[in-house]
Amino acid sequence: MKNRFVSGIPRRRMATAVAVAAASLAAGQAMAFQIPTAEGSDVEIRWDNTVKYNVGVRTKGRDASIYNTWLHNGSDGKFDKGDLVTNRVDLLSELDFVVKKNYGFRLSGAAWYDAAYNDKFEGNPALSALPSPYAGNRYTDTVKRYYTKSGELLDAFVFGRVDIGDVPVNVKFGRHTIYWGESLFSPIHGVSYSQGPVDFRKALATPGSEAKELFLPLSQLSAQAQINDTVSVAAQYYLEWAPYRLPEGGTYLSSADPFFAGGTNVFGTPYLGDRSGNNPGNRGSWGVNTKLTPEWLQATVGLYYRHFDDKVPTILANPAGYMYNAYAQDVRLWGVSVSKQISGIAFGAELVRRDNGALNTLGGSSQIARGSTWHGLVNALAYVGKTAVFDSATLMAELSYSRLAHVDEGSKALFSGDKYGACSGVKSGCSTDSAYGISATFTPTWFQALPSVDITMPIHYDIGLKGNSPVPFGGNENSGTWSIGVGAEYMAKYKFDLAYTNYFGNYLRAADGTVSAFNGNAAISDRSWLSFTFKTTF
Amino acid sequence: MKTNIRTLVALAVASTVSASALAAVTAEEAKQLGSTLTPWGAEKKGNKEGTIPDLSGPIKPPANFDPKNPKHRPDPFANEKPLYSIDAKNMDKHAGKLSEGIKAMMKKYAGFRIDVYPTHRNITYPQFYQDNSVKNATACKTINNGLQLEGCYAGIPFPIPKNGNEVMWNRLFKYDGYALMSEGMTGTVVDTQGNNTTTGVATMWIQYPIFDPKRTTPISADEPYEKIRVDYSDPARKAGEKLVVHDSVDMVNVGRRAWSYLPGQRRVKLSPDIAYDTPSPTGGGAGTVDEAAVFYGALDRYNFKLIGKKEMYIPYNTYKVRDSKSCPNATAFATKNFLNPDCVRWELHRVWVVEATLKDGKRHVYPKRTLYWDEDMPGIGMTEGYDSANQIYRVTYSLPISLYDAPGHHSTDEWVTADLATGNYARQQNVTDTGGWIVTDAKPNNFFSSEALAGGGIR
Repeated sequence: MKNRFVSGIPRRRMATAVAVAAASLAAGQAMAFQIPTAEGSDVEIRWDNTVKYNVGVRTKGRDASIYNTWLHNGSDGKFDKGDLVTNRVDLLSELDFVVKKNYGFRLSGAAWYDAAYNDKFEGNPALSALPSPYAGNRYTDTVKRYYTKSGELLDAFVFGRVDIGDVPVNVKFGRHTIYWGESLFSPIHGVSYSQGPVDFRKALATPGSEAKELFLPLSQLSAQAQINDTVSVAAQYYLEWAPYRLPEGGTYLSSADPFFAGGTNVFGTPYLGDRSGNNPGNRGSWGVNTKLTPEWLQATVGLYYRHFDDKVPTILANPAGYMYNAYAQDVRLWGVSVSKQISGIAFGAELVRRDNGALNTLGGSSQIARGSTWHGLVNALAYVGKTAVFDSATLMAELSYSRLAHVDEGSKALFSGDKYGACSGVKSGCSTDSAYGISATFTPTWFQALPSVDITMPIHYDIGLKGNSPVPFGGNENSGTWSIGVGAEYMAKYKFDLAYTNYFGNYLRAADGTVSAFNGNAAISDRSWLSFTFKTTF
Repeated sequence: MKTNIRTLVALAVASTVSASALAAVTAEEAKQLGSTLTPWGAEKKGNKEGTIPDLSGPIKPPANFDPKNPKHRPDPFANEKPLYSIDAKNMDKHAGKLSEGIKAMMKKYAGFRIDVYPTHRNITYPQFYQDNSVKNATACKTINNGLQLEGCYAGIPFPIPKNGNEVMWNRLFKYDGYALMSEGMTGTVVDTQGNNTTTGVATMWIQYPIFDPKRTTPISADEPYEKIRVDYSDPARKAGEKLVVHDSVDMVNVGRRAWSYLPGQRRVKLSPDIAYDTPSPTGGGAGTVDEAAVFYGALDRYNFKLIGKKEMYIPYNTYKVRDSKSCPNATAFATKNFLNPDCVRWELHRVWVVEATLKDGKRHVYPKRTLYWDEDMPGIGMTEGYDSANQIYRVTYSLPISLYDAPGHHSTDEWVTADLATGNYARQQNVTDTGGWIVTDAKPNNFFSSEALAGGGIR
């Protein structure tokens, strides 16, 4: 910003300003961070650092059935009731460098340290005679990295705008996130499926996380052109591939001890995870869309086509004697979205067809079950003004639906559909032909409840209402999460949140009382926990 | 008997005719525009006491205005001293010229006062706006319960307003300029301890497509009259957020459309919260969206009753509070409960008074509100909103100036809201410390389109 002052920093030469900024950072002084540049300069620099501290304690005792089951004992055993399940500091650093408002680059990165985790896999001592999924009961380096301390680069891209005639064309190149469609919660059923790696670890640890918090960047070239005020087109071509991030075995919110990073074993059979050499290549995925806002319709309509390699794993068994993660390649997706405001409520909807996609595959298969599926979602975003109870409130709700269109020839024996053959029973986790579920978050707010303190009370609930989706992570009947929290924000800068989170789902018991089959979140249904978070950006 | 019925029918027809004649501006009345009234309908002459002067033409920048630095506009009346001050102690003497909201603030806050300065009537408009205003007197009509317009040109729609809705339309079509922008537009809330919280800092563009000076055609029934775009840079959690709002002349079928750009996912979602009584995004809980710039919203939830024209004290020519040399934020926010009275200039002006009451079956946090609009510039005004117990809940007034850049341009959107229920106050669209509004070239339509936000977003 030319001529802009922030937090009393006077205009001065940039280098000095950076030095001053760095000094004040070192002094622990919190300040917004727009680095003032020389008067008349066309350069804007912005550097924000967000620090988050999160501590959580397990509030529910171990469920004996889960704890005594080999597949779950390490994840359940790691922390007992009353233990800290996380004691973690996260840093997110973001740097924007913009020239003439139209060109520049952006870098962001994250670092974390969690004192609640060491590298030990801590299973049920009663099962110590059975093989541990982790050699020597030590986490693999991958698990250790993400759960103890490390860091990573997130965004790293250059961007620019060129005007072709009257049409502004925005181009981005490098690591960034592109996320299409109208979905509020579902990272599976919308047109954005597998458009980038989704952080399911975070989604589970922080229920009600909005889709935007969960998408991780990938290297790609993307462009968007605003043809006129009612028509835009966009396209993306990927130069990188990375899988969804799922809770790792032996950590607090994992449903299955050996999975997903690999380097482990399943009762002695090596599980290679993503290290089998079978991952999709970095290139080959692409997508296009157009958005239309015709005056007569008073709505925005989006049309999408994407051709991509899946980012959600299917665990396969190789006849050579190992297990690994496989990903469906060359999946085709057609989608249409609508967003429209009716009576002060923003409605969004998507209809998606996936061809050649991954279906839920029977355990022990050597190939992915492939087929075509329909997906739909409808959501609403509503704001409620002041009532006797709260000053304002936000309601977000989303209904999602998926339906099997057909199972590809040669995949029928692989599909873990209920009554398709080897799989039987919804409670065992077998897929049904169709499934639907709902997610909703209601957040009342009280402004200035105390001087300069705003209070919120986010309440979240999601559940698979009917059926098990035919696609991985598409939702399971009677499985879900709920959470309730209280947040306080001081001077729009320091945020404190207290949240109680609970997971639920059905499982079947074998004669010996262990879990013989589970559905959705059933394997973590004893992991209720209370968390406290402090967050600030400077 | 037959005759009697015929007479009754005739009488009824006659009374209907006269009722509609009352509602419309007669050719006779319209002739006053340009003679006793200005083209935009204000009384040219001052009052007989001489406390309101005759209309005096465009503002002249003071000698210390530097045209190379047009964002910084020094006070042309810096040498004037207040004529008198009014506070709780002497408010009874001036009761007739004080709004109920200002009286409530004086009663509640011992330190609150208004400094009354000599009145200056400098408002003027570009020629096209004046010409169209005269045309509108007989051509422009509201239809559909005052929620749509017909046959109106790009001027003040109702220079001789006959009802509350017409006065409110005048407010919505106020002329600040065709295209304006500002960097560093800031929202601040001050709590009862005197702590300031920055609720939002943004670059903002405002464009009134109907005021394209090249335009000669009448305003069509469903076109947007105002478009805004807001790109937030602070506080850090809002950095990268963007907002566009389109307001249509057709409040029944189209109304307002707002979209937000959400950092992180780089996509745009409808934003139905930018309407009515949801809390203003930069108000920190003190003030609703439709209280922005005193009134920023649709007319459909209220019955607007025109009370009449009255002489009242309103903030006017508030150059002092908008000049970082005379009243930087640190000074303006030095007081609790209300903006520092040392910084705010009040003048006596004739204002249109409109009382809004909620229609049956509609809801709003203010079941009743009173609005006061300057006769010369309906962007300049005050309002008080009442709560459900009929107590004054919030008081809002604009902090207006006329711009020096081009004749007939104004900056009247900035406002401050005192929340009498909590004791907090919020000042929004404040540009004092960051550089003021400037008159700019118009942006193409696609600059304000929703998807353009996504394409250009980098966060």
